[in-house]
Amino acid sequence: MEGIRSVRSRPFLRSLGPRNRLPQGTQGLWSDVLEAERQALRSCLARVSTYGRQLLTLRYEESLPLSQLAERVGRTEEAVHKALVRVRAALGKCVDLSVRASEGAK
Amino acid sequence: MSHDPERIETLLARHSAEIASDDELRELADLIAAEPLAARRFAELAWQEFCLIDELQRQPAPVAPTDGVARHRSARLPRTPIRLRFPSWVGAVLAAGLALYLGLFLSAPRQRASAPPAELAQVTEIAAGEDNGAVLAQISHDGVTMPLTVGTRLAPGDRLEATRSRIQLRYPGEGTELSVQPGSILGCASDAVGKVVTIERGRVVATVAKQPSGSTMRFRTASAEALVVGTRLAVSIGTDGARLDVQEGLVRFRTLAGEAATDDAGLAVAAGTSALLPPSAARPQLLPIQAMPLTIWRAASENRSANTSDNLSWELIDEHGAPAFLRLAGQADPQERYAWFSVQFPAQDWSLATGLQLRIRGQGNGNTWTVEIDDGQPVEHFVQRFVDDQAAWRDVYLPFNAFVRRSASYQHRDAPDDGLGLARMSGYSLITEARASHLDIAAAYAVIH
Repeated sequence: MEGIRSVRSRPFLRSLGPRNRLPQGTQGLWSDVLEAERQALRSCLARVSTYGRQLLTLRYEESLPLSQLAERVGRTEEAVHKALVRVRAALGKCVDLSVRASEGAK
Repeated sequence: MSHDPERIETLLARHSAEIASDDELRELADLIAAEPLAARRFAELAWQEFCLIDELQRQPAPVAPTDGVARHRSARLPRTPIRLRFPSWVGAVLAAGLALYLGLFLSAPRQRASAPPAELAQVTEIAAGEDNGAVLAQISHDGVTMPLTVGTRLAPGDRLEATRSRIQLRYPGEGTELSVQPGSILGCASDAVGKVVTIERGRVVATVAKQPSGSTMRFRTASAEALVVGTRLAVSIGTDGARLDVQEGLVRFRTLAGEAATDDAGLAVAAGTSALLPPSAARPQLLPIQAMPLTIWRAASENRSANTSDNLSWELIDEHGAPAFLRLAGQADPQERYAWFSVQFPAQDWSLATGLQLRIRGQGNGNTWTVEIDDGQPVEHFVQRFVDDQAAWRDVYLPFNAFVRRSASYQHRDAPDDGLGLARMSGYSLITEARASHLDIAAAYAVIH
């Protein structure tokens, strides 16, 4: 149990962060990639629908489990689960397009 | 062993939502250990989740004040880490998979899955449109649409729309360029055979650099496919069907059955030639070589680019609803040894074609016609004969290797004797020695058989 908790926890993911683990000379490159993704995510989050944004906020800002999340928005767990999957897939594609556009413009 | 990508996505989604059963978690762990795709997708989703948490919690949204003081939601609500039910060994496997993926990511940060293959095109120009502020062009992928910007590298599955502007694309590392005309929609991809450009609507003008050995670039519409090794061409979709115009080189043009090409090798379309696949037609058809019959015949009386001997008349039959054709008719008097019809045009390169094809309707009278073609400058004449043995429309194919040089008395005095070159062809003639001659011609073009 402890293992997977650590995989999904912020400290673990942060610990994988470049600044701690990267070989000498590659930190700048990582920072560029990271920053580009952050910028892209920010602009893509602004394009998410109100309902999608609400789901993301409840799930990832307030860390609500799916059952409570479904209760809060008045939908079934299954419906909320599917909606979250769709929103995250769309976000991933949007980030990909944005990062490619910004990389190409450099 | 390969697993269904859909199953992997389902398991990952259920894991992410914390609704996966123990059996599903074990299955997922096994997949991550065994399948690079699963490990990669797991790491991508974990990374996205991390970024989402970080972004949403780093920039908290303001909430309505409840006690007269505006506060941030993050300051008001306690955060509980997302808890997952997993045996410890599963966690270790997942951690190893994630670390492995991130290790690869860090060692080659530009080769990530999100990076497009190097061979796909990059946007180099978006011509200014007339309406300031309007979206000139946009790019979409699986329903997500964004304005297109110069520098964007296309990836498989992208759909490009030149809404109000011409878009210029270039393939990095080679000279291949596409000019996407306003109103066009296309997608780019690549596979084992080579690059693929799929045109949904509009017109794309392309300059294709010589492709790597064994590689063929393909331009596809819903019904047709143009295969290119290296050339200049244009593919467009209009009410009359999918049309291919080849300016340089050689392109193979064939029909598509759904997404797949048919077994038919297609039509080889040489430089200066156009082909059309009409809607619901089984095969594309060649259009006359540029500057050959129809335009030449219509303009002949003005610019003298086509001519006949005095004893042979010619008439353009262009009735509404029927393909136009040229009718040659003559009565050679006893003093005339022959009658002729001749067309001249600016030099064309036929070097990739294998023969001359005439679409004709004779009278089946057994008359022999001599076809003369003009090579180079000064012109060197070569001839080949065919017999009028059918009173119906048909295609007569005259292979270039069966043409023979005319005798010296018929050649220009400065004409070289260096064989049929085909690189600078400037005309052709039809000659008959029969006293009564009659022949209808609908088209003449250089083709590959």
